[in-house]
Amino acid sequence: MKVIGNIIKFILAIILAICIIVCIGVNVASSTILSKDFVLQKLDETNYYANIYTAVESDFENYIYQSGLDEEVLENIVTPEKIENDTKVIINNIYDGTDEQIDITEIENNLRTNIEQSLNGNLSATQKKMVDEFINKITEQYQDTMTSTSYEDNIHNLLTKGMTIIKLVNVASIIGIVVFAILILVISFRRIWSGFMFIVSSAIASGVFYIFANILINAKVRIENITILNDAISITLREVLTSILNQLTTTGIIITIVGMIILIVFAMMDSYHKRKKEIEDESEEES
Amino acid sequence: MHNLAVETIKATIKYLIVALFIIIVIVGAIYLLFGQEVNETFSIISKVAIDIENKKVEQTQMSEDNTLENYPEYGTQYATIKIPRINADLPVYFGDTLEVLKNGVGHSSGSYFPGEGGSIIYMGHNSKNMFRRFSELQLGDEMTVTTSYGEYTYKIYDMQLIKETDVDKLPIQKEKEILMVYTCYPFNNIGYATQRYVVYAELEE
Repeated sequence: MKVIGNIIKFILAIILAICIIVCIGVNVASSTILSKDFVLQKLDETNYYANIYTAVESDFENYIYQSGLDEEVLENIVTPEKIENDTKVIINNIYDGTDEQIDITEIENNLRTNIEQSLNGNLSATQKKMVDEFINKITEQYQDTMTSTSYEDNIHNLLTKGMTIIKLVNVASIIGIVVFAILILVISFRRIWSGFMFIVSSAIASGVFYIFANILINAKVRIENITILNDAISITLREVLTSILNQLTTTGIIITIVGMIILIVFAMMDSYHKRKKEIEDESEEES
Repeated sequence: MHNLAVETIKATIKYLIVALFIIIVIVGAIYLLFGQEVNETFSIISKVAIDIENKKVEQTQMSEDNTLENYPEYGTQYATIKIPRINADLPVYFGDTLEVLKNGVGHSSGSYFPGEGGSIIYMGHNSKNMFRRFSELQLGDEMTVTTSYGEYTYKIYDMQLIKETDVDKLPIQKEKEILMVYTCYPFNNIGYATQRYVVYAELEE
């Protein structure tokens, strides 16, 4: 009977550990990648606006070399401040579902002025058409580099659905933790400290799980080398992933250490009560 | 008191073992149920996690039979080209992508290297800092390519205006060492140029 009881407790402890793992994961995701403030903070920390400014200029240069125009025509057509504002427009579109478009009029006007000055204003009808095409190419390139995706709406919809699911999963995991912890205690009502220790074992297991996951990910992937689209995006992505992993690992370490301290305390309590009961039984037999 | 301590240690170890078994069961279940997906995810992420430090630029060398040992890595600079007539002293990169051409002169990856005795094809933009002044070149002018394995001087013997589709005007052969350098034409064009200004030069003995 005792063996069956322990097996049931073990199974419940596994489910409880899964609930704790899910709960930690969901909360870390909510406070990191799904949080607009977190993303904006990481963009600031990784100097994203300056880096994307460099990427934008570099992409423009690809066109200028082919165009035959002087490099000077690209000077001051876009500013770091505009890039920062446009980045925030995109972030708002993704996280808040706004439908604001990036304003390219300023770039168009600056570029046209620079080209006309460079060519001393003597443009034939054909040249004017070519200049228009060139300006269109440059503004398209700017929008491409800034957004890196034309699926802002889709990302926003996915994010909204993701947030709803994550909220539900969070509530479900918390309910799961409470329910399965109570079940373990109910089954262990004769030795309540044993029940508590099963619960703590689940917590320690979930903590170690995240430490183990971090070791595995670091062994398999060199996050510091991740390179996608351009330097600005790559550096920010690396920082975001490192932050998420660090949060998960720190949570895992804290849960494991606190869990072990609590486990030792509960083990002492259990041993003390067991010993006390034995003494009481012995004195009853003697009397 | 001693028994109590022993009992405490025993219980602690027992429940740590329980925790260990819980982890084993969970990790085992994840591996069985999602093992393939997890491996695929790691594989995809690894493809974008390029180990830059391990990319070594090998020192290119010429062997006795005029073939190169350790070809330069695509996209890396392996030479410089000097054209005194137009005051050009430019880096030469192995490769011909836009990214490469942004940095300097590109070496068409299908052509031979200096010293190998065949057609060498270089290209560059017609911008002010590159080949804008190509029209000033004259027959008999020299172009010098300096690599890590030697210096090669070529004398211009022909200049032609070709269409971008005239690939037969840039023939790949290995009978004679010829350097062909081209840029877009017209030099002050706006937009995409469909003509190429090619300079042909032969290796000076």
